[in-house]
Amino acid sequence: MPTTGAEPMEAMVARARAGDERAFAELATAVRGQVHRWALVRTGDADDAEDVAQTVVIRLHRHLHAFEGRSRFTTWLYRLTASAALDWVKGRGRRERAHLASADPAALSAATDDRIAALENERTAALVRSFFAELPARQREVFDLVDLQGFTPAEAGEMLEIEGVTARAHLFRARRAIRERILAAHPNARDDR
Amino acid sequence: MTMDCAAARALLLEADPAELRGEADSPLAAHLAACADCRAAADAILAGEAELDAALRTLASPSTDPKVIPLRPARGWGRRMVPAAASFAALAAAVAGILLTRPHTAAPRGATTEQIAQLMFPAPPIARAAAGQSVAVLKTSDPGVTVVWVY
Repeated sequence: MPTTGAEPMEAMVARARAGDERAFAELATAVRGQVHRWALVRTGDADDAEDVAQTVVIRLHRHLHAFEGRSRFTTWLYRLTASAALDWVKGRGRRERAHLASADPAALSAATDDRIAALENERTAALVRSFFAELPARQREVFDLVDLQGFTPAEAGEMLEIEGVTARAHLFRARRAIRERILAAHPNARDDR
Repeated sequence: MTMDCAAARALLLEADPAELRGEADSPLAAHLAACADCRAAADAILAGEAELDAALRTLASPSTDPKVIPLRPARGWGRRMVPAAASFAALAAAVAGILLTRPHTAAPRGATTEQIAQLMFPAPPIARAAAGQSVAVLKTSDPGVTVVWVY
């Protein structure tokens, strides 16, 4: 979770909860990129992710008073994002296209594929396509949270509301799939012996 | 070196990143410290995952096109407000989201988004947003209406 330099996230949350609108704006600005990333990985759709991220900012404003500190703010915010993502996709009637429950290789939207294609490195673009097309949503989420963003499997499990051991099982499957793909794209690193 | 390369390659696929970086005290880390080929494979994995991370960060950045999300007010008008993005964008160039909380005043039936915005904001509120921020919370002349701008 990003910090905002001088002020710890918790202090900003406390000020925003107390009704300081400026603190809320700072908080929302600070977490928006993180929320967008979570939404992207969860929905597998670049356009949906942007819309979800904006919706989460709105919901954060509406519901921040309900955050009582029983869980970490990051965990609470992740669940807010997951809920918004589910609602957004339901509202658009596109659950089957949004990878929430399954990995359908044909399901990447044209807009998402265009944004992936715009990445400078073709090898990276292919890896990102594999990430979205070949990994079920839950594996993507755990891999992104743990290996790319530095949360522990236990923290990821709490955010996703699954057991830590289940999170680790998803993580290992995701690592194997992603790393096999990476090594296949690096001929010099493959085990040819 | 107690671990052979075949065993190391199998472990590479599921090992923690710290182990791949050689930061752990494990048989795999010891093998990677001694075997240049397996070290290269571990480095390729780490580089690939870093590329993936950077790519996801790029994809998870707002597009440059202004967009308005239609949202239902918290309560009040009781129907989904569908803004006309073009006219709204003329009012505030990069505004992306709007929240209406506790709207006490009813909008005229059939009002356009621009008319609603003009009713609520006597001046373009985007000018009052703090520098370096992409979210602003603005009070309107109606104490029951708060606007959250995401731009």
